[in-house]
Amino acid sequence: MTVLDVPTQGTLTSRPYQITTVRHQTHDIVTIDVAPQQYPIAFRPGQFDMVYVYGVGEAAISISSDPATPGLLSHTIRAVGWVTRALNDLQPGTRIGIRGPYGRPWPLEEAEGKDLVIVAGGIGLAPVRPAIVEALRHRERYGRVVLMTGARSPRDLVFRDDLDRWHADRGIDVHVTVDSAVRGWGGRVGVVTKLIPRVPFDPENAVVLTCGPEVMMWFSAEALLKRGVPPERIYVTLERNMKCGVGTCGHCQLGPKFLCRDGPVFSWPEVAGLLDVREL
Amino acid sequence: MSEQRHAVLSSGDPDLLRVALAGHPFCADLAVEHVHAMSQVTSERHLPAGAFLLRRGHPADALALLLEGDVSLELTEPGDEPIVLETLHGGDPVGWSWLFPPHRWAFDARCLTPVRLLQLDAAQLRALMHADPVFGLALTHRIGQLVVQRLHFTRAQLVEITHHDRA
Repeated sequence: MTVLDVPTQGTLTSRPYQITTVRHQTHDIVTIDVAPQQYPIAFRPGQFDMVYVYGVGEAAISISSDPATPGLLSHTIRAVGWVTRALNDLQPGTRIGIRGPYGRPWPLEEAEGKDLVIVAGGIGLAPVRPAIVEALRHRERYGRVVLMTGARSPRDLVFRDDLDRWHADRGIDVHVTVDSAVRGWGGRVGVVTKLIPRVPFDPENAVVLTCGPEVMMWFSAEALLKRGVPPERIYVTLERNMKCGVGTCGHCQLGPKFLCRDGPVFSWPEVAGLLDVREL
Repeated sequence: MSEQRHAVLSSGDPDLLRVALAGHPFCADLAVEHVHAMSQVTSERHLPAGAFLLRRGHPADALALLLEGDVSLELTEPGDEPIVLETLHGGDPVGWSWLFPPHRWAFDARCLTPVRLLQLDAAQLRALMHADPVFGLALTHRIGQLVVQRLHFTRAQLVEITHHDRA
Protein backbone atom coordinates (compact mmCIF):
# COMPACT_ATOMS: atom_id res chain seq x y z
CA MET A 1 0.00 0.00 0.00
CA THR A 2 1.34 3.43 -0.84
CA VAL A 3 1.59 6.14 1.77
CA LEU A 4 -1.53 8.19 1.64
CA ASP A 5 -3.64 10.58 3.51
CA VAL A 6 -5.50 7.72 5.11
CA PRO A 7 -9.26 7.93 5.57
CA THR A 8 -8.86 8.31 9.33
CA GLN A 9 -7.17 11.68 9.08
CA GLY A 10 -9.24 14.45 10.57
CA THR A 11 -11.97 12.04 11.56
CA LEU A 12 -12.97 10.30 14.77
CA THR A 13 -12.32 6.80 13.44
CA SER A 14 -9.65 4.85 15.28
CA ARG A 15 -7.70 2.10 13.44
CA PRO A 16 -6.00 -0.90 15.06
CA TYR A 17 -2.22 -1.15 15.14
CA GLN A 18 0.09 -3.70 16.69
CA ILE A 19 2.98 -2.61 18.87
CA THR A 20 6.28 -3.84 17.46
CA THR A 21 8.75 -2.36 19.93
CA VAL A 22 8.67 -0.73 23.36
CA ARG A 23 11.78 1.30 24.13
CA HIS A 24 12.26 2.53 27.69
CA GLN A 25 13.65 6.05 27.52
CA THR A 26 13.64 6.74 31.28
CA HIS A 27 12.03 5.26 34.40
CA ASP A 28 8.65 6.77 33.40
CA ILE A 29 8.92 7.44 29.65
CA VAL A 30 8.62 4.88 26.86
CA THR A 31 8.62 5.08 23.09
CA ILE A 32 6.11 2.74 21.48
CA ASP A 33 6.62 1.80 17.84
CA VAL A 34 3.89 0.46 15.62
CA ALA A 35 4.37 -0.77 12.07
CA PRO A 36 1.36 0.58 10.22
CA GLN A 37 1.45 -1.84 7.28
CA GLN A 38 -2.28 -1.71 6.68
CA TYR A 39 -2.94 1.94 7.48
CA PRO A 40 0.26 3.94 6.95
CA ILE A 41 0.01 7.41 8.42
CA ALA A 42 1.56 10.37 6.62
CA PHE A 43 2.23 13.14 9.10
CA ARG A 44 4.15 16.38 9.41
CA PRO A 45 6.54 17.23 12.26
CA GLY A 46 4.65 18.58 15.26
CA GLN A 47 1.38 16.75 14.64
CA PHE A 48 -0.18 14.38 17.16
CA ASP A 49 -2.33 11.26 17.25
CA MET A 50 -5.09 10.16 19.59
CA VAL A 51 -3.82 6.84 20.97
CA TYR A 52 -6.41 4.44 22.34
CA VAL A 53 -5.74 1.73 24.91
CA TYR A 54 -8.72 -0.56 24.53
CA GLY A 55 -10.79 -0.65 27.67
CA VAL A 56 -8.90 2.22 29.29
CA GLY A 57 -9.19 5.32 27.14
CA GLU A 58 -7.52 7.72 24.72
CA ALA A 59 -4.71 10.23 25.08
CA ALA A 60 -3.24 12.80 22.71
CA ILE A 61 0.37 11.85 21.98
CA SER A 62 2.80 13.68 19.70
CA ILE A 63 4.39 11.65 16.94
CA SER A 64 8.13 11.28 17.54
CA SER A 65 9.25 9.25 14.53
CA ASP A 66 10.73 10.22 11.18
CA PRO A 67 8.04 11.65 8.89
CA ALA A 68 9.85 10.16 5.89
CA THR A 69 9.41 6.65 7.29
CA PRO A 70 5.66 6.15 7.50
CA GLY A 71 6.28 2.41 7.87
CA LEU A 72 7.39 3.11 11.42
CA LEU A 73 5.24 5.25 13.65
CA SER A 74 6.47 6.15 17.14
CA HIS A 75 4.85 7.81 20.13
CA THR A 76 6.81 8.79 23.21
CA ILE A 77 4.79 8.75 26.40
CA ARG A 78 5.35 9.68 30.01
CA ALA A 79 3.25 7.90 32.61
CA VAL A 80 1.19 10.61 34.31
CA GLY A 81 -2.46 9.50 34.02
CA TRP A 82 -4.58 6.37 33.62
CA VAL A 83 -4.12 6.05 29.85
CA THR A 84 -0.45 6.96 29.74
CA ARG A 85 0.31 4.59 32.64
CA ALA A 86 -1.47 1.83 30.73
CA LEU A 87 0.53 2.72 27.60
CA ASN A 88 3.76 2.50 29.59
CA ASP A 89 2.88 -1.04 30.65
CA LEU A 90 2.07 -2.40 27.17
CA GLN A 91 4.20 -5.08 25.57
CA PRO A 92 5.14 -5.76 21.93
CA GLY A 93 2.33 -7.57 20.17
CA THR A 94 -0.42 -5.63 21.96
CA ARG A 95 -3.01 -3.93 19.75
CA ILE A 96 -3.81 -0.27 20.27
CA GLY A 97 -6.04 2.16 18.38
CA ILE A 98 -4.70 5.25 16.66
CA ARG A 99 -6.49 8.08 14.90
CA GLY A 100 -4.88 11.07 13.36
CA PRO A 101 -2.65 12.82 12.59
CA TYR A 102 -4.11 16.06 13.88
CA GLY A 103 -3.07 19.62 14.34
CA ARG A 104 -0.95 22.36 12.88
CA PRO A 105 2.69 21.30 12.32
CA TRP A 106 5.94 23.12 13.00
CA PRO A 107 6.60 25.85 10.36
CA LEU A 108 9.76 24.33 8.91
CA GLU A 109 9.19 26.09 5.57
CA GLU A 110 9.35 29.46 7.33
CA ALA A 111 12.75 28.51 8.77
CA GLU A 112 14.27 27.86 5.34
CA GLY A 113 17.12 30.29 4.72
CA LYS A 114 17.24 31.11 8.43
CA ASP A 115 18.77 29.65 11.56
CA LEU A 116 16.57 26.92 13.00
CA VAL A 117 16.71 26.96 16.79
CA ILE A 118 15.01 24.33 18.94
CA VAL A 119 14.49 24.62 22.69
CA ALA A 120 13.12 21.48 24.36
CA GLY A 121 12.51 20.58 27.98
CA GLY A 122 12.20 16.97 29.15
CA ILE A 123 9.80 14.92 27.06
CA GLY A 124 9.31 18.07 24.98
CA LEU A 125 12.10 16.70 22.80
CA ALA A 126 9.63 14.13 21.41
CA PRO A 127 7.38 16.53 19.44
CA VAL A 128 10.40 18.35 17.96
CA ARG A 129 12.35 15.20 17.11
CA PRO A 130 10.60 14.76 13.70
CA ALA A 131 11.44 18.41 12.90
CA ILE A 132 15.11 17.84 13.76
CA VAL A 133 15.26 14.68 11.65
CA GLU A 134 13.55 16.48 8.75
CA ALA A 135 15.85 19.51 9.02
CA LEU A 136 18.97 17.33 9.05
CA ARG A 137 17.70 15.47 5.97
CA HIS A 138 17.42 18.82 4.16
CA ARG A 139 20.33 20.46 5.95
CA GLU A 140 21.17 22.76 3.03
CA ARG A 141 17.88 24.61 3.45
CA TYR A 142 18.82 26.15 6.80
CA GLY A 143 21.51 28.31 8.33
CA ARG A 144 22.61 27.12 11.74
CA VAL A 145 20.57 24.29 13.25
CA VAL A 146 20.75 24.51 17.04
CA LEU A 147 19.23 22.26 19.69
CA MET A 148 19.09 23.32 23.34
CA THR A 149 17.57 20.63 25.50
CA GLY A 150 17.25 20.06 29.20
CA ALA A 151 15.89 17.54 31.65
CA ARG A 152 15.26 17.33 35.35
CA SER A 153 18.31 15.10 35.86
CA PRO A 154 20.65 13.02 33.67
CA ARG A 155 18.40 9.97 34.15
CA ASP A 156 15.45 11.98 32.76
CA LEU A 157 17.11 12.72 29.41
CA VAL A 158 15.21 11.17 26.50
CA PHE A 159 16.51 10.10 23.09
CA ARG A 160 20.05 9.75 24.41
CA ASP A 161 21.14 7.75 21.36
CA ASP A 162 19.91 10.56 19.13
CA LEU A 163 21.65 13.17 21.28
CA ASP A 164 24.93 11.23 21.04
CA ARG A 165 24.53 10.87 17.28
CA TRP A 166 23.58 14.52 16.81
CA HIS A 167 26.54 15.56 18.98
CA ALA A 168 28.79 13.80 16.49
CA ASP A 169 26.93 15.35 13.54
CA ARG A 170 28.48 18.63 12.48
CA GLY A 171 25.17 19.70 10.96
CA ILE A 172 23.56 20.46 14.30
CA ASP A 173 24.84 22.29 17.35
CA VAL A 174 23.61 20.38 20.42
CA HIS A 175 23.56 21.81 23.95
CA VAL A 176 22.35 19.65 26.82
CA THR A 177 21.74 20.69 30.41
CA VAL A 178 20.03 19.22 33.47
CA ASP A 179 18.33 20.89 36.43
CA SER A 180 20.03 18.77 39.03
CA ALA A 181 22.98 16.40 39.09
CA VAL A 182 25.49 14.73 41.32
CA ARG A 183 29.17 14.30 40.56
CA GLY A 184 29.69 12.00 37.60
CA TRP A 185 27.58 14.08 35.23
CA GLY A 186 30.13 15.95 33.15
CA GLY A 187 27.72 18.29 31.40
CA ARG A 188 25.98 21.53 32.19
CA VAL A 189 23.70 22.03 35.19
CA GLY A 190 21.02 24.72 35.08
CA VAL A 191 17.75 25.45 33.33
CA VAL A 192 17.65 25.17 29.56
CA THR A 193 16.64 28.83 29.27
CA LYS A 194 20.06 29.78 30.68
CA LEU A 195 21.60 28.57 27.43
CA ILE A 196 19.61 30.98 25.25
CA PRO A 197 21.69 34.15 25.81
CA ARG A 198 25.00 32.49 24.95
CA VAL A 199 24.45 29.85 22.25
CA PRO A 200 25.55 31.11 18.81
CA PHE A 201 22.73 31.90 16.36
CA ASP A 202 21.43 34.98 14.60
CA PRO A 203 18.39 36.10 16.62
CA GLU A 204 17.15 38.46 13.92
CA ASN A 205 17.21 35.72 11.32
CA ALA A 206 16.05 32.69 13.25
CA VAL A 207 12.90 30.63 13.68
CA VAL A 208 12.62 29.06 17.12
CA LEU A 209 10.61 25.97 18.03
CA THR A 210 10.05 25.46 21.76
CA CYS A 211 8.43 22.53 23.50
CA GLY A 212 8.21 21.63 27.15
CA PRO A 213 6.24 22.56 30.26
CA GLU A 214 4.32 25.83 29.77
CA VAL A 215 6.40 27.56 32.44
CA MET A 216 9.59 26.55 30.66
CA MET A 217 8.25 27.82 27.32
CA TRP A 218 7.26 31.11 28.97
CA PHE A 219 10.78 31.54 30.40
CA SER A 220 12.24 30.53 27.02
CA ALA A 221 10.14 33.08 25.15
CA GLU A 222 11.22 35.80 27.59
CA ALA A 223 14.89 34.92 27.05
CA LEU A 224 14.44 34.71 23.26
CA LEU A 225 12.72 38.09 23.11
CA LYS A 226 15.49 39.59 25.23
CA ARG A 227 18.03 38.07 22.82
CA GLY A 228 16.26 39.84 19.94
CA VAL A 229 14.22 37.10 18.26
CA PRO A 230 11.06 38.63 16.71
CA PRO A 231 8.03 37.36 18.66
CA GLU A 232 6.27 36.08 15.54
CA ARG A 233 9.22 33.76 14.85
CA ILE A 234 8.95 32.04 18.24
CA TYR A 235 6.72 28.95 18.13
CA VAL A 236 5.42 26.90 21.04
CA THR A 237 3.35 23.73 21.16
CA LEU A 238 0.60 23.46 23.74
CA GLU A 239 -1.12 20.43 25.22
CA ARG A 240 -4.23 20.72 27.29
CA ASN A 241 -6.53 17.75 27.87
CA MET A 242 -7.32 17.03 24.22
CA LYS A 243 -10.27 14.68 23.69
CA CYS A 244 -11.82 14.78 20.23
CA GLY A 245 -8.76 16.03 18.34
CA VAL A 246 -10.88 17.84 15.76
CA GLY A 247 -12.05 21.00 17.56
CA THR A 248 -15.52 19.80 18.45
CA CYS A 249 -15.68 18.91 22.13
CA GLY A 250 -13.99 21.97 23.64
CA HIS A 251 -11.96 20.11 26.26
CA CYS A 252 -8.70 21.66 25.08
CA GLN A 253 -10.05 25.18 24.81
CA LEU A 254 -7.67 27.97 25.82
CA GLY A 255 -9.62 31.20 25.55
CA PRO A 256 -10.67 31.51 21.90
CA LYS A 257 -8.36 28.68 20.78
CA PHE A 258 -9.05 24.98 20.43
CA LEU A 259 -5.55 23.62 20.85
CA CYS A 260 -6.20 20.42 18.90
CA ARG A 261 -7.61 22.23 15.87
CA ASP A 262 -5.91 25.65 15.94
CA GLY A 263 -2.63 24.23 17.31
CA PRO A 264 -0.93 22.49 18.93
CA VAL A 265 1.76 24.70 17.37
CA PHE A 266 1.22 28.45 17.85
CA SER A 267 3.32 31.51 17.27
CA TRP A 268 4.13 33.35 20.50
CA PRO A 269 1.91 36.40 19.79
CA GLU A 270 -1.08 34.06 19.28
CA VAL A 271 -0.93 32.66 22.82
CA ALA A 272 1.34 34.87 24.94
CA GLY A 273 -1.57 36.83 26.39
CA LEU A 274 -3.56 33.67 27.07
CA LEU A 275 -0.81 32.01 29.09
CA ASP A 276 -0.94 34.88 31.56
CA VAL A 277 -4.65 34.47 32.33
CA ARG A 278 -5.01 32.53 35.56
CA GLU A 279 -8.67 31.67 34.96
CA LEU A 280 -7.91 29.82 31.70
CA MET B 1 40.18 31.79 46.65
CA SER B 2 41.95 30.30 49.62
CA GLU B 3 42.91 27.08 47.83
CA GLN B 4 46.14 28.52 46.57
CA ARG B 5 48.21 25.42 46.11
CA HIS B 6 46.74 24.55 42.70
CA ALA B 7 46.72 28.06 41.44
CA VAL B 8 49.08 29.80 39.11
CA LEU B 9 48.82 33.48 39.82
CA SER B 10 50.07 36.13 37.49
CA SER B 11 49.79 39.87 37.77
CA GLY B 12 50.23 39.92 33.97
CA ASP B 13 50.52 42.80 31.57
CA PRO B 14 48.26 45.65 32.81
CA ASP B 15 47.17 46.51 29.28
CA LEU B 16 46.28 42.91 28.49
CA LEU B 17 44.38 42.62 31.77
CA ARG B 18 42.47 45.81 30.94
CA VAL B 19 41.57 44.45 27.51
CA ALA B 20 40.51 41.11 28.99
CA LEU B 21 38.37 42.87 31.60
CA ALA B 22 36.78 45.17 29.05
CA GLY B 23 35.90 42.16 26.90
CA HIS B 24 34.28 40.20 29.71
CA PRO B 25 30.44 40.26 29.64
CA PHE B 26 30.36 41.28 33.32
CA CYS B 27 32.11 44.53 32.38
CA ALA B 28 30.05 45.25 29.26
CA ASP B 29 29.24 48.99 28.98
CA LEU B 30 31.22 49.91 32.10
CA ALA B 31 32.94 53.29 31.82
CA VAL B 32 36.54 53.10 30.58
CA GLU B 33 37.86 54.68 33.77
CA HIS B 34 36.01 52.10 35.87
CA VAL B 35 37.49 49.22 33.88
CA HIS B 36 40.87 50.85 34.28
CA ALA B 37 40.38 51.08 38.06
CA MET B 38 39.32 47.42 38.22
CA SER B 39 42.37 46.35 36.25
CA GLN B 40 44.58 47.74 39.01
CA VAL B 41 43.31 45.04 41.39
CA THR B 42 43.11 42.22 38.84
CA SER B 43 45.35 39.28 38.15
CA GLU B 44 45.00 36.35 35.81
CA ARG B 45 44.71 32.89 37.31
CA HIS B 46 44.87 29.38 35.89
CA LEU B 47 43.44 26.35 37.66
CA PRO B 48 43.61 22.69 36.66
CA ALA B 49 40.57 20.43 36.37
CA GLY B 50 39.48 19.22 39.79
CA ALA B 51 40.84 22.21 41.70
CA PHE B 52 38.56 24.17 43.99
CA LEU B 53 38.05 27.77 43.01
CA LEU B 54 36.32 28.47 46.31
CA ARG B 55 35.17 26.53 49.37
CA ARG B 56 32.08 27.00 51.47
CA GLY B 57 32.79 28.92 54.68
CA HIS B 58 36.15 30.21 53.48
CA PRO B 59 36.74 33.96 53.18
CA ALA B 60 35.18 35.44 50.05
CA ASP B 61 38.22 37.46 49.18
CA ALA B 62 37.93 37.83 45.42
CA LEU B 63 35.56 38.28 42.50
CA ALA B 64 36.30 35.72 39.77
CA LEU B 65 35.41 36.37 36.14
CA LEU B 66 35.68 33.18 34.11
CA LEU B 67 37.43 33.52 30.78
CA GLU B 68 37.65 29.86 29.76
CA GLY B 69 36.61 26.56 31.25
CA ASP B 70 33.74 25.08 33.24
CA VAL B 71 33.09 25.34 36.99
CA SER B 72 30.44 23.57 39.07
CA LEU B 73 28.79 25.16 42.09
CA GLU B 74 28.36 22.39 44.63
CA LEU B 75 26.77 21.77 47.98
CA THR B 76 28.11 18.90 50.02
CA GLU B 77 27.02 17.15 53.16
CA PRO B 78 29.71 15.15 54.94
CA GLY B 79 29.84 11.62 53.62
CA ASP B 80 27.54 12.33 50.65
CA GLU B 81 28.18 12.97 47.00
CA PRO B 82 28.18 16.69 46.24
CA ILE B 83 25.02 18.07 44.66
CA VAL B 84 25.79 20.16 41.60
CA LEU B 85 23.56 23.23 41.80
CA GLU B 86 24.68 24.91 38.63
CA THR B 87 27.57 24.99 36.21
CA LEU B 88 29.28 28.22 35.20
CA HIS B 89 31.28 28.77 32.04
CA GLY B 90 33.54 31.21 30.24
CA GLY B 91 31.90 34.65 30.40
CA ASP B 92 30.27 34.05 33.79
CA PRO B 93 31.16 35.83 37.04
CA VAL B 94 31.46 33.62 40.11
CA GLY B 95 29.81 34.67 43.34
CA TRP B 96 28.78 37.82 45.13
CA SER B 97 29.64 36.91 48.73
CA TRP B 98 32.76 39.08 48.42
CA LEU B 99 30.49 42.15 48.40
CA PHE B 100 28.28 41.41 51.41
CA PRO B 101 29.24 40.68 55.03
CA PRO B 102 30.28 38.28 56.44
CA HIS B 103 32.28 37.83 53.20
CA ARG B 104 32.23 34.03 53.32
CA TRP B 105 31.44 31.69 50.42
CA ALA B 106 28.13 29.84 50.62
CA PHE B 107 29.05 27.02 48.20
CA ASP B 108 31.99 25.12 46.83
CA ALA B 109 33.09 25.88 43.28
CA ARG B 110 35.13 23.18 41.56
CA CYS B 111 36.81 23.26 38.16
CA LEU B 112 35.40 20.67 35.77
CA THR B 113 38.03 21.54 33.15
CA PRO B 114 41.19 23.64 33.17
CA VAL B 115 40.02 27.16 33.97
CA ARG B 116 41.42 30.56 33.11
CA LEU B 117 39.95 33.51 34.99
CA LEU B 118 40.42 37.08 36.06
CA GLN B 119 40.66 37.45 39.83
CA LEU B 120 39.83 40.81 41.41
CA ASP B 121 40.94 41.36 44.99
CA ALA B 122 37.75 41.89 47.01
CA ALA B 123 39.12 44.21 49.70
CA GLN B 124 40.68 46.52 47.13
CA LEU B 125 37.62 46.38 44.93
CA ARG B 126 35.36 47.35 47.84
CA ALA B 127 37.73 50.20 48.70
CA LEU B 128 37.47 51.46 45.11
CA MET B 129 33.66 51.27 45.30
CA HIS B 130 33.63 53.32 48.53
CA ALA B 131 36.06 55.86 47.12
CA ASP B 132 34.04 56.40 43.91
CA PRO B 133 30.27 56.15 44.56
CA VAL B 134 29.50 56.26 40.82
CA PHE B 135 31.68 53.21 40.28
CA GLY B 136 30.28 51.68 43.48
CA LEU B 137 26.72 52.11 42.22
CA ALA B 138 27.59 50.72 38.77
CA LEU B 139 29.16 47.59 40.23
CA THR B 140 26.44 47.10 42.86
CA HIS B 141 23.82 47.42 40.12
CA ARG B 142 25.67 44.78 38.08
CA ILE B 143 25.85 42.39 41.02
CA GLY B 144 22.14 43.07 41.68
CA GLN B 145 21.33 42.07 38.10
CA LEU B 146 23.39 38.92 38.54
CA VAL B 147 21.51 38.02 41.73
CA VAL B 148 18.13 38.65 40.07
CA GLN B 149 19.10 36.55 37.05
CA ARG B 150 20.29 33.65 39.21
CA LEU B 151 17.11 33.89 41.33
CA HIS B 152 15.07 33.79 38.13
CA PHE B 153 16.88 30.66 36.94
CA THR B 154 16.62 29.06 40.37
CA ARG B 155 12.85 29.62 40.43
CA ALA B 156 12.54 28.09 36.96
CA GLN B 157 14.68 25.18 38.13
CA LEU B 158 12.44 24.69 41.18
CA VAL B 159 9.28 24.74 39.09
CA GLU B 160 10.69 22.22 36.64
CA ILE B 161 11.86 19.89 39.42
CA THR B 162 8.84 20.10 41.71
CA HIS B 163 6.11 20.34 39.03
CA HIS B 164 7.59 17.68 36.76
CA ASP B 165 4.40 15.60 36.75
CA ARG B 166 2.26 18.50 35.55
CA ALA B 167 4.32 18.92 32.40
